[in-house]
Amino acid sequence: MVGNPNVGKSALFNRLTGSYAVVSNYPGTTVAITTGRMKIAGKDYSVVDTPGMYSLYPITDEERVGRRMLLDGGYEVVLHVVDAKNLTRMIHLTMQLKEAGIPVILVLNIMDEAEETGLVIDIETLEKRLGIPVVPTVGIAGKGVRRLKEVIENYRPDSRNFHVDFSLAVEKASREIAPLLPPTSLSSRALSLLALQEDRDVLELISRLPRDRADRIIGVIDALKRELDHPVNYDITMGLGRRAGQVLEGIIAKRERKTRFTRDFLDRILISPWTGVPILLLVLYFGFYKFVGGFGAGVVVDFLEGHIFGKYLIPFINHWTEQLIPWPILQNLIAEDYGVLTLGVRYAVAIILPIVGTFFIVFSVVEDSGYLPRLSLLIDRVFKWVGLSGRAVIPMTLGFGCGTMATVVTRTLESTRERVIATILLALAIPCSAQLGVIFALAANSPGVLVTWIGTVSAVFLFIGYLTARIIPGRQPDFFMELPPLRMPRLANVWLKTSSRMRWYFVEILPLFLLASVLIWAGNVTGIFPILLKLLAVPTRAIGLPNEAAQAFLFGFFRRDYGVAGLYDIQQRGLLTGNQLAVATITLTLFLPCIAQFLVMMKERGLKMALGVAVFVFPFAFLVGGSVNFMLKVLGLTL
Amino acid sequence: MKDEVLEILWTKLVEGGLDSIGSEEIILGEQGPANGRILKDLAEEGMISLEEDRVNLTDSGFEEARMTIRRHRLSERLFNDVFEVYHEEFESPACRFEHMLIRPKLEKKICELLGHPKTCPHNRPIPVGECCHRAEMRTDKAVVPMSKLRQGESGVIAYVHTGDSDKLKKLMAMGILPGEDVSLERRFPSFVFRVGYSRFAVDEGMAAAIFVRRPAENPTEETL
Repeated sequence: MVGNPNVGKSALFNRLTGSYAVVSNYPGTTVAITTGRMKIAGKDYSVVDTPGMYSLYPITDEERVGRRMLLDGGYEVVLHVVDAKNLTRMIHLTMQLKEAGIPVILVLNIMDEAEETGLVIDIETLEKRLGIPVVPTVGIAGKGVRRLKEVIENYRPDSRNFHVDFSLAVEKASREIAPLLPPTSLSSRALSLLALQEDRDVLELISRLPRDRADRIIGVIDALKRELDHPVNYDITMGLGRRAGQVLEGIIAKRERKTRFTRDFLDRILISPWTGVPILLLVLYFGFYKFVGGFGAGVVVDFLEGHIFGKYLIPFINHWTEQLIPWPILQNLIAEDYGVLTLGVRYAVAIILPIVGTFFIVFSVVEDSGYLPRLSLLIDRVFKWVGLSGRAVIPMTLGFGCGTMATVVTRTLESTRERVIATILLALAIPCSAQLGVIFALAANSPGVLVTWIGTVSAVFLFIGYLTARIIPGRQPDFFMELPPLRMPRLANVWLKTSSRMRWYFVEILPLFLLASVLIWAGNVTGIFPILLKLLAVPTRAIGLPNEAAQAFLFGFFRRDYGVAGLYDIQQRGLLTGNQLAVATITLTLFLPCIAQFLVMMKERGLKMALGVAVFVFPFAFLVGGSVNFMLKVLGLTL
Repeated sequence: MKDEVLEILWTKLVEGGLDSIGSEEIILGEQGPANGRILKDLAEEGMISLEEDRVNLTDSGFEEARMTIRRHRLSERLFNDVFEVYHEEFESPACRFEHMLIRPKLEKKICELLGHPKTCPHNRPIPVGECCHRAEMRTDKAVVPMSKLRQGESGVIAYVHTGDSDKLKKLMAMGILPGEDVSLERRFPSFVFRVGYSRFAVDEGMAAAIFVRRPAENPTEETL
């Protein structure tokens, strides 16, 4: 399956396979390729969903992924999924696929919205002109899916050629190099057009050819470039546009559009700064502070942690471990203060899971409604200041859920520069939902702490963002984004999305929590931890915190949220004053990202970058914490 | 052809930023001998200075070359935008056509029709004419970058012009192409506009690259 971002590919994928891929109403959230199984008339098919793709010529790395799959082949048929109301624009890729000799079925998805807009499409004529099957669907409701399966089952490749005429210069150059190119799943004509646009992957294929052949091809490309004075891509797009006009001539009729007063009104107030910013604050307050912080981190955590674990499970586990295992060392591995069950499982299940779960519920609703693109355009100007574009709202917002996941999603950003800046900010100044939840719970009774924390962390975000944007070379990113219509989130979809994200998170973190508690146990047994704790106690005391906080920092090294959860314990024991709480939460928020995020940073940005961030963040967190402590003292404030 | 020589001189001297060029650069190839004669004629007419085989434009030559280039590139725009004849195909008809534009009234009409374009289809600058100046003085120009449109205004995308091809590619990938209807819904905090049945949000830099032809609000002005 290929197609533009946000045409409902993932929803259709789910309908076809019955399995689940994360579906979102936000361009570019399908980062990885998702594969599922589908059965039609007893025959097994494997369905592959690709990240969004605008044209055969990719711009972002994400698009490259899908295109590489097209080049590699190994598919029976490609479903090109388009948003029916934008057929005029999206048919370009259909024609490119057809011209490239790829077996393709055109799926006109989101047909309901097209009909609502008043569009009527003559599907039969369209099929004839393109020489491929065309199937209308409403993926999210499952309409037309059965028919699509029938069409897939009976699909026979159409050997007729489809030809798009480009400018004479391009045609000539294409004919010259086509016979020189290596064979791929694309027709040599399609490959030659990509070569003329200097597509990275195709140039690489060419570089592997014998020297003289490669040189001849490059010679033709260079000559064309000199001749044209504008990007070759321009000619190609214009050619496709003309051909699209021919194919669609008389096919789309327009009836009167129903006006959608409520939706238009909502849309307007979301993107106007005067109403949009207050709405954003409301979403943050009710969605995150009240629901995630109050309900998730308060009510649910209290119940699970205080009631289920504290009253029943922990005493039970401690009792039976003492009964069954005679050696205190092993007792400590499983139970007591730092046991795998009493610390690892308790933190993961009773504290972190409810918080992350409630966050993902809110995020899924927000994502499905189409609010995020509107937030992007609202915030673009602010983000430009820190060297990012409004597009970075997705990874940044997702970072409030899980920094690890968000670091992976920075792939959707356009330039390496943006990705680096986003990675640094995610590691430093964006607290994940686990941290947020606990911090909200910690600061619930002292608004002063909360204000100091928000103020300091936002200042650090802006300041460090501003600095990195000035230091890292490269130009400011462009902001451009399609605004999908606002859609009412569907309960079933929100639930599927939340549960699959929670499953992902749980599978990912539980082993790490267990590993961390084993490491802490080993550290204690071998005597390394007491030494490290003593060392950490020095800067901890220096910023005015009790010795016990050093432990939270050390645990935070294994998982950032683990550390905050530890802080929660300390505060419950009444060991922190308001000022200390503020300093501790600030330092911990800025402190090193968790092991998982560190590993992902290494994978995505390289070891050097990951280590560099670590080396910077460690002293910086303490420096900021210390300064806040000092300022509070100088100003004589007690929070 | 005299015009061709003037065009060569303009691109090399004015756009290429050279002080003078050797006459041998013009007396080249098939056209060489003929061009040599034209150079002599031009020197006699006082359009160029010819010293020790170094050629330079005189003031009157500068103006003449400027107008020749203007007519040439205007015709290219015309063939490209209006007749939709592309590239090499239009080189020769455009060449012949540009001579018709020697009539100032026709040149002005064409320039207005095209919305006082700034560049030719090859993205080279079109020298500004009288009518362009006047159009610029009026508050409403026929073709303006989208960043200059008022909120709620609509028009047709005339062309996409940007210094870097990356921006161009992004806009084209989103289907923002010449000929599409466009209406600007909002300028702040970002530019929000509608093309076809889709809406887009872009920053000011991207909006400045999209040139939009406003519908003629006041038809009497056209006949001025």
